[in-house]
Amino acid sequence: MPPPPDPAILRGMPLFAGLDAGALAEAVALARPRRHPRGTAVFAQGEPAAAGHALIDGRVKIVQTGPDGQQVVMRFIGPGEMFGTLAIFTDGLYPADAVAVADCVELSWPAAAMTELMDRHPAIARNALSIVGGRLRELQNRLREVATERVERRIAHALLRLVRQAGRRVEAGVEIDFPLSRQDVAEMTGTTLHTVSRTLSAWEGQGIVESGRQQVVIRKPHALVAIAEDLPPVPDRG
Amino acid sequence: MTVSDMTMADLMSARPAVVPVLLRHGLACPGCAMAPFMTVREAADAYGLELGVLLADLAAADSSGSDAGDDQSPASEGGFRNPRARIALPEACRPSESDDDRMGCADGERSFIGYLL
Repeated sequence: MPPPPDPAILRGMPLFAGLDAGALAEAVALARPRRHPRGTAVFAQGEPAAAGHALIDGRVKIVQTGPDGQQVVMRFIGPGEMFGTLAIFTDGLYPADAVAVADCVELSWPAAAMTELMDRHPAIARNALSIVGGRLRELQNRLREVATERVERRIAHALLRLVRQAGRRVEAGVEIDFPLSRQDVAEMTGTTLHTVSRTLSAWEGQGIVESGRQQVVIRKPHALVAIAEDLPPVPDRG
Repeated sequence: MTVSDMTMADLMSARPAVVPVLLRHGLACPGCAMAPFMTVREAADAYGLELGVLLADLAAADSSGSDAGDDQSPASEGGFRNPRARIALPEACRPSESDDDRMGCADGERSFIGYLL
Protein backbone atom coordinates (compact mmCIF):
# COMPACT_ATOMS: atom_id res chain seq x y z
CA MET A 1 0.00 0.00 0.00
CA PRO A 2 1.54 3.33 -1.02
CA PRO A 3 1.75 6.06 1.60
CA PRO A 4 -1.19 8.49 1.85
CA PRO A 5 -0.95 10.75 -1.19
CA ASP A 6 -0.05 14.41 -1.11
CA PRO A 7 -2.92 16.68 -2.36
CA ALA A 8 -0.43 18.06 -4.87
CA ILE A 9 -0.86 14.92 -6.99
CA LEU A 10 -4.35 16.14 -7.90
CA ARG A 11 -2.99 19.37 -9.36
CA GLY A 12 -3.11 19.38 -13.12
CA MET A 13 -5.82 16.72 -13.13
CA PRO A 14 -8.70 17.96 -15.29
CA LEU A 15 -11.27 16.40 -12.93
CA PHE A 16 -10.07 18.69 -10.13
CA ALA A 17 -9.27 21.80 -12.17
CA GLY A 18 -10.16 25.08 -10.49
CA LEU A 19 -10.36 23.68 -6.95
CA ASP A 20 -8.61 25.43 -4.08
CA ALA A 21 -6.08 23.73 -1.81
CA GLY A 22 -8.71 22.97 0.83
CA ALA A 23 -10.96 21.16 -1.65
CA LEU A 24 -8.00 19.21 -3.07
CA ALA A 25 -7.03 18.11 0.43
CA GLU A 26 -10.60 17.00 1.03
CA ALA A 27 -10.63 15.02 -2.24
CA VAL A 28 -7.35 13.33 -1.52
CA ALA A 29 -8.41 12.44 2.02
CA LEU A 30 -11.35 10.46 0.61
CA ALA A 31 -9.23 8.69 -2.03
CA ARG A 32 -7.82 5.19 -1.82
CA PRO A 33 -4.42 4.74 -3.43
CA ARG A 34 -3.65 1.40 -5.05
CA ARG A 35 -0.87 -0.09 -7.15
CA HIS A 36 -1.61 -2.34 -10.11
CA PRO A 37 1.30 -4.26 -11.63
CA ARG A 38 1.44 -4.43 -15.41
CA GLY A 39 -0.99 -7.00 -16.80
CA THR A 40 -3.45 -6.96 -13.90
CA ALA A 41 -7.07 -5.81 -13.96
CA VAL A 42 -8.14 -2.61 -12.21
CA PHE A 43 -11.78 -3.60 -12.63
CA ALA A 44 -13.74 -5.97 -14.85
CA GLN A 45 -16.64 -5.50 -17.24
CA GLY A 46 -19.98 -6.26 -15.57
CA GLU A 47 -18.70 -5.87 -12.01
CA PRO A 48 -20.64 -3.53 -9.73
CA ALA A 49 -19.08 -0.08 -10.08
CA ALA A 50 -18.06 0.63 -6.54
CA ALA A 51 -15.83 3.63 -7.22
CA GLY A 52 -14.64 6.41 -9.48
CA HIS A 53 -11.02 6.22 -10.57
CA ALA A 54 -8.14 8.48 -11.55
CA LEU A 55 -4.76 7.35 -12.82
CA ILE A 56 -1.69 8.86 -11.17
CA ASP A 57 0.99 6.99 -13.04
CA GLY A 58 1.18 4.28 -15.70
CA ARG A 59 -1.25 3.39 -18.48
CA VAL A 60 -4.62 1.64 -18.41
CA LYS A 61 -6.40 0.09 -21.36
CA ILE A 62 -10.21 0.21 -21.38
CA VAL A 63 -11.45 -2.73 -23.41
CA GLN A 64 -15.01 -3.87 -23.96
CA THR A 65 -15.92 -7.44 -24.95
CA GLY A 66 -19.04 -8.14 -27.00
CA PRO A 67 -21.36 -11.14 -26.56
CA ASP A 68 -19.46 -12.89 -29.37
CA GLY A 69 -16.14 -12.40 -27.60
CA GLN A 70 -14.93 -9.66 -29.96
CA GLN A 71 -12.95 -7.03 -28.09
CA VAL A 72 -12.86 -3.30 -28.75
CA VAL A 73 -10.29 -1.00 -27.19
CA MET A 74 -12.37 1.97 -26.08
CA ARG A 75 -9.42 4.12 -25.09
CA PHE A 76 -6.12 4.26 -23.26
CA ILE A 77 -6.00 6.19 -20.00
CA GLY A 78 -2.87 8.17 -19.16
CA PRO A 79 -1.61 9.83 -15.98
CA GLY A 80 -4.02 12.47 -14.69
CA GLU A 81 -7.09 11.06 -16.43
CA MET A 82 -10.26 9.81 -14.78
CA PHE A 83 -11.77 6.47 -15.78
CA GLY A 84 -14.50 4.06 -14.74
CA THR A 85 -16.37 6.90 -13.07
CA LEU A 86 -19.48 7.13 -15.23
CA ALA A 87 -20.89 3.78 -14.12
CA ILE A 88 -21.59 5.25 -10.68
CA PHE A 89 -24.08 7.57 -12.37
CA THR A 90 -25.53 5.11 -14.88
CA ASP A 91 -26.43 1.47 -14.31
CA GLY A 92 -23.89 0.82 -11.57
CA LEU A 93 -21.91 -1.75 -13.59
CA TYR A 94 -18.48 -1.20 -15.15
CA PRO A 95 -19.06 -1.20 -18.92
CA ALA A 96 -15.59 -2.49 -19.80
CA ASP A 97 -12.42 -4.03 -18.42
CA ALA A 98 -9.64 -1.73 -17.22
CA VAL A 99 -6.26 -3.43 -17.56
CA ALA A 100 -2.91 -2.00 -16.45
CA VAL A 101 -0.64 -2.10 -19.51
CA ALA A 102 2.22 -0.61 -17.50
CA ASP A 103 2.79 -0.60 -13.73
CA CYS A 104 0.12 1.76 -12.42
CA VAL A 105 -0.78 3.83 -9.39
CA GLU A 106 -4.41 4.91 -9.19
CA LEU A 107 -6.67 6.69 -6.80
CA SER A 108 -10.27 5.62 -6.40
CA TRP A 109 -13.19 7.19 -4.60
CA PRO A 110 -16.03 5.02 -3.33
CA ALA A 111 -19.28 5.96 -5.09
CA ALA A 112 -20.65 7.71 -2.00
CA ALA A 113 -17.45 9.73 -1.57
CA MET A 114 -17.39 10.79 -5.23
CA THR A 115 -21.03 11.87 -5.08
CA GLU A 116 -20.42 13.77 -1.87
CA LEU A 117 -17.38 15.54 -3.36
CA MET A 118 -19.42 16.58 -6.39
CA ASP A 119 -22.22 17.87 -4.17
CA ARG A 120 -19.83 19.92 -2.08
CA HIS A 121 -17.72 21.10 -5.00
CA PRO A 122 -19.87 21.44 -8.12
CA ALA A 123 -16.71 22.28 -10.10
CA ILE A 124 -15.83 18.56 -9.94
CA ALA A 125 -19.16 17.67 -11.53
CA ARG A 126 -18.70 20.36 -14.20
CA ASN A 127 -15.17 19.10 -14.89
CA ALA A 128 -16.48 15.54 -15.20
CA LEU A 129 -19.12 16.75 -17.65
CA SER A 130 -16.48 18.45 -19.75
CA ILE A 131 -14.29 15.31 -19.73
CA VAL A 132 -17.26 13.14 -20.68
CA GLY A 133 -18.22 15.61 -23.41
CA GLY A 134 -14.72 15.45 -24.87
CA ARG A 135 -14.76 11.68 -24.87
CA LEU A 136 -18.23 11.59 -26.43
CA ARG A 137 -16.98 13.83 -29.21
CA GLU A 138 -14.01 11.53 -29.73
CA LEU A 139 -16.28 8.49 -29.90
CA GLN A 140 -18.57 10.28 -32.36
CA ASN A 141 -15.53 10.88 -34.55
CA ARG A 142 -14.55 7.23 -34.27
CA LEU A 143 -18.06 6.11 -35.13
CA ARG A 144 -18.03 8.30 -38.21
CA GLU A 145 -14.60 6.98 -39.17
CA VAL A 146 -15.71 3.37 -38.80
CA ALA A 147 -18.85 4.06 -40.81
CA THR A 148 -17.31 6.07 -43.62
CA GLU A 149 -13.54 5.85 -43.84
CA ARG A 150 -11.33 3.33 -45.47
CA VAL A 151 -9.26 1.36 -43.03
CA GLU A 152 -5.94 3.13 -43.66
CA ARG A 153 -7.44 6.44 -42.58
CA ARG A 154 -8.94 4.85 -39.48
CA ILE A 155 -5.58 3.40 -38.46
CA ALA A 156 -3.86 6.72 -39.11
CA HIS A 157 -6.49 8.52 -37.00
CA ALA A 158 -6.06 6.02 -34.18
CA LEU A 159 -2.29 6.59 -34.14
CA LEU A 160 -2.79 10.36 -34.18
CA ARG A 161 -5.18 10.14 -31.22
CA LEU A 162 -2.54 8.19 -29.33
CA VAL A 163 0.10 10.75 -30.27
CA ARG A 164 -2.14 13.51 -28.95
CA GLN A 165 -2.50 11.61 -25.69
CA ALA A 166 0.94 10.10 -25.24
CA GLY A 167 3.26 11.42 -27.95
CA ARG A 168 6.92 12.02 -27.17
CA ARG A 169 9.50 13.60 -29.42
CA VAL A 170 12.43 11.29 -30.07
CA GLU A 171 15.33 11.54 -32.47
CA ALA A 172 13.66 9.35 -35.09
CA GLY A 173 10.32 11.17 -34.95
CA VAL A 174 7.35 10.99 -32.58
CA GLU A 175 6.97 7.97 -30.33
CA ILE A 176 3.77 6.68 -28.76
CA ASP A 177 5.07 6.39 -25.25
CA PHE A 178 3.51 3.18 -23.96
CA PRO A 179 3.31 -0.48 -24.97
CA LEU A 180 0.98 -0.73 -27.96
CA SER A 181 0.45 -3.94 -29.91
CA ARG A 182 -0.91 -4.32 -33.43
CA GLN A 183 -3.83 -6.19 -31.89
CA ASP A 184 -4.59 -3.07 -29.80
CA VAL A 185 -4.63 -0.98 -32.97
CA ALA A 186 -6.96 -3.51 -34.63
CA GLU A 187 -9.30 -3.36 -31.65
CA MET A 188 -9.27 0.45 -31.73
CA THR A 189 -10.15 0.65 -35.40
CA GLY A 190 -12.68 -2.15 -35.87
CA THR A 191 -10.47 -4.13 -38.17
CA THR A 192 -8.39 -7.29 -38.06
CA LEU A 193 -4.86 -7.91 -36.89
CA HIS A 194 -4.04 -9.00 -40.43
CA THR A 195 -5.18 -5.67 -41.89
CA VAL A 196 -3.28 -3.65 -39.29
CA SER A 197 -0.13 -5.68 -39.93
CA ARG A 198 -0.45 -5.26 -43.70
CA THR A 199 -1.06 -1.52 -43.35
CA LEU A 200 1.74 -0.88 -40.88
CA SER A 201 4.15 -2.98 -42.95
CA ALA A 202 3.31 -0.91 -46.01
CA TRP A 203 3.88 2.30 -44.02
CA GLU A 204 7.14 0.90 -42.70
CA GLY A 205 8.20 0.24 -46.27
CA GLN A 206 7.53 3.92 -47.03
CA GLY A 207 9.47 5.01 -43.94
CA ILE A 208 6.35 6.56 -42.37
CA VAL A 209 6.33 4.48 -39.18
CA GLU A 210 8.60 2.09 -37.38
CA SER A 211 7.01 -0.45 -35.11
CA GLY A 212 8.56 -2.94 -32.78
CA ARG A 213 6.56 -5.59 -31.00
CA GLN A 214 5.07 -3.09 -28.53
CA GLN A 215 6.42 0.27 -29.68
CA VAL A 216 5.39 2.61 -32.46
CA VAL A 217 7.45 5.54 -33.73
CA ILE A 218 6.07 7.85 -36.39
CA ARG A 219 9.07 8.77 -38.50
CA LYS A 220 7.24 10.96 -40.99
CA PRO A 221 4.57 12.69 -38.92
CA HIS A 222 3.21 14.74 -41.78
CA ALA A 223 2.85 11.70 -44.04
CA LEU A 224 0.65 10.05 -41.41
CA VAL A 225 -1.44 13.23 -41.05
CA ALA A 226 -1.79 13.34 -44.83
CA ILE A 227 -3.21 9.79 -44.83
CA ALA A 228 -5.56 10.52 -41.92
CA GLU A 229 -6.86 13.78 -43.38
CA ASP A 230 -6.71 12.87 -47.07
CA LEU A 231 -4.32 15.75 -47.71
CA PRO A 232 -2.59 16.04 -51.06
CA PRO A 233 0.45 13.75 -51.32
CA VAL A 234 3.67 15.00 -49.77
CA PRO A 235 6.10 16.34 -52.36
CA ASP A 236 9.18 14.15 -52.26
CA ARG A 237 12.18 16.42 -52.15
CA GLY A 238 14.67 13.65 -51.55
CA MET B 1 15.24 30.11 -29.99
CA THR B 2 14.46 31.22 -33.50
CA VAL B 3 10.97 31.02 -34.92
CA SER B 4 12.02 28.23 -37.28
CA ASP B 5 12.99 26.05 -34.31
CA MET B 6 9.78 26.66 -32.36
CA THR B 7 7.22 23.91 -32.41
CA MET B 8 4.10 24.71 -34.39
CA ALA B 9 2.00 24.37 -31.23
CA ASP B 10 4.16 26.91 -29.33
CA LEU B 11 4.07 29.30 -32.26
CA MET B 12 0.27 29.08 -32.59
CA SER B 13 -0.31 29.51 -28.87
CA ALA B 14 2.12 32.44 -28.63
CA ARG B 15 0.83 34.03 -31.83
CA PRO B 16 -2.73 33.01 -32.71
CA ALA B 17 -2.60 35.47 -35.60
CA VAL B 18 -0.40 33.04 -37.52
CA VAL B 19 -3.21 30.49 -37.79
CA PRO B 20 -4.83 32.00 -40.90
CA VAL B 21 -1.38 32.35 -42.47
CA LEU B 22 -0.73 28.63 -41.94
CA LEU B 23 -4.12 27.73 -43.41
CA ARG B 24 -3.50 30.00 -46.38
CA HIS B 25 -0.30 28.06 -47.06
CA GLY B 26 -2.28 24.82 -46.95
CA LEU B 27 -0.75 23.66 -43.65
CA ALA B 28 -3.01 21.49 -41.51
CA CYS B 29 -1.11 22.34 -38.29
CA PRO B 30 -3.97 24.08 -36.41
CA GLY B 31 -5.57 21.36 -34.30
CA CYS B 32 -3.11 18.72 -35.49
CA ALA B 33 -1.90 16.09 -33.02
CA MET B 34 1.64 16.49 -34.36
CA ALA B 35 1.82 20.27 -33.84
CA PRO B 36 3.48 20.00 -30.38
CA PHE B 37 6.26 17.88 -31.84
CA MET B 38 7.12 19.49 -35.15
CA THR B 39 9.08 22.68 -35.63
CA VAL B 40 8.21 25.37 -38.15
CA ARG B 41 11.26 24.29 -40.14
CA GLU B 42 10.10 20.65 -40.22
CA ALA B 43 6.58 21.66 -41.19
CA ALA B 44 7.87 23.76 -44.08
CA ASP B 45 9.98 20.84 -45.20
CA ALA B 46 7.11 18.35 -44.90
CA TYR B 47 4.86 20.54 -47.06
CA GLY B 48 7.58 21.36 -49.56
CA LEU B 49 7.45 25.07 -48.75
CA GLU B 50 10.38 27.46 -48.84
CA LEU B 51 11.16 28.11 -45.17
CA GLY B 52 12.09 31.75 -45.78
CA VAL B 53 8.81 32.50 -47.54
CA LEU B 54 6.81 30.90 -44.74
CA LEU B 55 8.78 32.73 -42.04
CA ALA B 56 8.31 36.06 -43.77
CA ASP B 57 4.56 35.52 -44.02
CA LEU B 58 4.37 34.39 -40.39
CA ALA B 59 6.33 37.46 -39.31
CA ALA B 60 3.99 39.67 -41.26
CA ALA B 61 0.90 38.21 -39.58
CA ASP B 62 -1.19 40.86 -37.89
CA SER B 63 -0.07 41.12 -34.28
CA SER B 64 -3.37 42.50 -32.99
CA GLY B 65 -4.59 39.06 -31.95
CA SER B 66 -2.27 38.69 -28.97
CA ASP B 67 -1.80 40.51 -25.71
CA ALA B 68 0.59 43.39 -25.94
CA GLY B 69 3.11 43.40 -23.14
CA ASP B 70 3.17 39.63 -22.77
CA ASP B 71 6.93 39.44 -22.60
CA GLN B 72 6.92 35.72 -21.90
CA SER B 73 6.01 35.07 -25.47
CA PRO B 74 8.79 33.22 -27.24
CA ALA B 75 7.72 35.05 -30.36
CA SER B 76 9.11 38.34 -29.08
CA GLU B 77 12.56 37.29 -30.13
CA GLY B 78 11.24 36.76 -33.61
CA GLY B 79 10.36 40.43 -33.90
CA PHE B 80 6.61 39.96 -34.19
CA ARG B 81 6.05 42.80 -31.75
CA ASN B 82 7.64 45.21 -34.13
CA PRO B 83 4.81 47.12 -35.79
CA ARG B 84 6.89 47.21 -38.92
CA ALA B 85 6.46 43.46 -39.11
CA ARG B 86 3.05 44.14 -40.60
CA ILE B 87 4.58 45.58 -43.71
CA ALA B 88 4.18 43.11 -46.51
CA LEU B 89 7.51 42.33 -48.08
CA PRO B 90 7.95 42.33 -51.82
CA GLU B 91 8.42 38.83 -53.17
CA ALA B 92 12.04 39.48 -54.14
CA CYS B 93 12.90 40.54 -50.62
CA ARG B 94 11.67 37.43 -48.93
CA PRO B 95 14.62 35.61 -47.50
CA SER B 96 15.22 31.98 -48.15
CA GLU B 97 16.81 29.68 -45.67
CA SER B 98 20.47 30.01 -46.50
CA ASP B 99 21.03 32.75 -49.00
CA ASP B 100 20.89 35.92 -46.98
CA ASP B 101 23.54 37.40 -49.22
CA ARG B 102 21.72 36.77 -52.45
CA MET B 103 18.29 38.16 -51.78
CA GLY B 104 18.54 41.02 -54.17
CA CYS B 105 17.62 43.56 -51.54
CA ALA B 106 19.42 46.72 -50.58
CA ASP B 107 21.47 46.45 -47.40
CA GLY B 108 18.95 48.31 -45.29
CA GLU B 109 16.13 46.03 -46.34
CA ARG B 110 18.19 42.96 -45.67
CA SER B 111 19.01 43.94 -42.13
CA PHE B 112 15.34 44.73 -41.59
CA ILE B 113 14.46 41.23 -42.71
CA GLY B 114 17.22 39.82 -40.57
CA TYR B 115 15.60 41.52 -37.61
CA LEU B 116 12.24 40.04 -38.48
CA LEU B 117 13.64 36.55 -38.53
